[in-house]
Amino acid sequence: MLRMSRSGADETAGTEPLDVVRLRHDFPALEQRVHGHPLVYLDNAATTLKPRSVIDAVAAAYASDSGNAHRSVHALSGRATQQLETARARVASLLNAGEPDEVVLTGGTTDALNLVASSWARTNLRPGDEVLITELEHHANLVPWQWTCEQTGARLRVVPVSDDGTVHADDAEARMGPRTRLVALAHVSNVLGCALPVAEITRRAHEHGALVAVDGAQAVAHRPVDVQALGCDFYAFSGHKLHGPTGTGALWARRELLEAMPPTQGGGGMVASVSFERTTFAPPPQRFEAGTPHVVGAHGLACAIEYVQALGWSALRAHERDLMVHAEAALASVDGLQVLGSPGTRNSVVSFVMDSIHPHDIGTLVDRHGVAIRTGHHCAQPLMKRLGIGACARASFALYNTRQDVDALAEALRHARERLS
Amino acid sequence: MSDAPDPYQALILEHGKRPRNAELPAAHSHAGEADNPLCGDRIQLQLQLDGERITAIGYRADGCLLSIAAASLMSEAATGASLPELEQLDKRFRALVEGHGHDSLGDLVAFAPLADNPMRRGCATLPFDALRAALTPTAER
Repeated sequence: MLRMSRSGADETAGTEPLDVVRLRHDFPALEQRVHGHPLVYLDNAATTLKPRSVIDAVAAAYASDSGNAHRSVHALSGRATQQLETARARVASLLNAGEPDEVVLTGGTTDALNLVASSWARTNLRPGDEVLITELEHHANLVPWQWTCEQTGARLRVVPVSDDGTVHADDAEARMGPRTRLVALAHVSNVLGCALPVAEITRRAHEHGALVAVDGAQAVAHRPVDVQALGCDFYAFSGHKLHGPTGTGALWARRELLEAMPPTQGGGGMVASVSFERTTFAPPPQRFEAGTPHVVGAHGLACAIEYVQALGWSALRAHERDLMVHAEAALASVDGLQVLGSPGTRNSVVSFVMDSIHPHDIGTLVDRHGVAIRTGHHCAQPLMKRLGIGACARASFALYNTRQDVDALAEALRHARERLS
Repeated sequence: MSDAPDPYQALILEHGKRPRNAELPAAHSHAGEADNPLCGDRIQLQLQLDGERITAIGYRADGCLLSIAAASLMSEAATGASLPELEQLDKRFRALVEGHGHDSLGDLVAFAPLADNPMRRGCATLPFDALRAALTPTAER
């Protein structure tokens, strides 16, 4: 029986707990053994495993529906077009977007954030303008802004991570001013697992006349996202972190923003008319989708979203909270282990260091027990610096993980420590 | 599915925990550094070439156990070697961890399991990257 351990009990009212034993059968990758042990997959913040429904949908699409979208008039093209646009609508429902045409299908979060940087930011930033990010951002929500600032003469400012391992709206607002044009921040940290106060920071950013771009990579598989309730202006995510295919994802933006943004790639599918004298562009979202889109990937993404939505967010949230409470206790029982961030703030992601043992040694040794975790700087080098470490180990959960998985991690960590100390 | 061998062999654990030559030599004729961008690991290496032979080699390593053990075992193999011998050692070691044979490597052959663990090869070759940097004239880098 899964129980809520912290606030948010209303979310689970009247819902059945996840039937994890049953749904694990939906994920063929979980059936394998690694180094003689059953796979314990705890690297979901890096990428998630795919359910059979997604794998079958992708295979079936390549087997029979493999036409190009928005091109030819034959049956296969029609099916591809329908799959692509159904996927767009499914993404819109995932994010509670106002309309599907506010969704640009991209190669992932990185692709989506770079689109905002190279289109909106390149067009709108002036010398002396400011882009505000936070100290815990993934490089994908840092490097594009750094480049754009260099190109436009704008200035990159950084909201510090507080000592409790979170980002506070007051600290963000303290760095907002008349020249702040954009605030770019993670919805959930890929290292500390804390959720940022996106709605509150957005409200304050808007008071300063700034727009807000959200990196939702670590949020979409773990919580319901409502871009209208958040009030943000751009929201980016990756399909592969949501049990969908790699190379898929989306950028959501308010329609009036997309309409005012120039395309960043020219080619087929993004034009209204072309002559040697002049090209006019298609309306969004097609304007931002030059070339043949990843139709089959989008179809797989739609199936992945459908899979997660069918489970129900309340049950999923309750399950992952239970895992985190269990993990915090299990990791605390491992000698020499120090968990990063603060208890009660972690969402499906928990990072740690162990004595002076290098995280890569930990990663390889727990892998010997079939336990897959991430080790390294997690594409967040400024945050590593803030935490006073070069790298760390990270366990991250998904809907198919169990308390037994967490126990296997703790046991593997004890073995690793024994061998390396 | 093949079961890859454990890279943490006793000899590697021993050198990783108690590395030899893990300080910079009193004097050096060549110096090099290498970074692993995947994890931020870093090795600074110095060696003294007297005539045709390396008479002293040492390093400062901020890295994982595999990189430190590789630096330690490499430093033992390098002491007394000539530059052509070192170049051969470098080539053979890289071939070893990529799964292309293990000729005349002495104790460094303990790293053979990395042939099945491509994600950790860069850890073991990091000291060799520093060695290459030390032996490459600045103009060629």
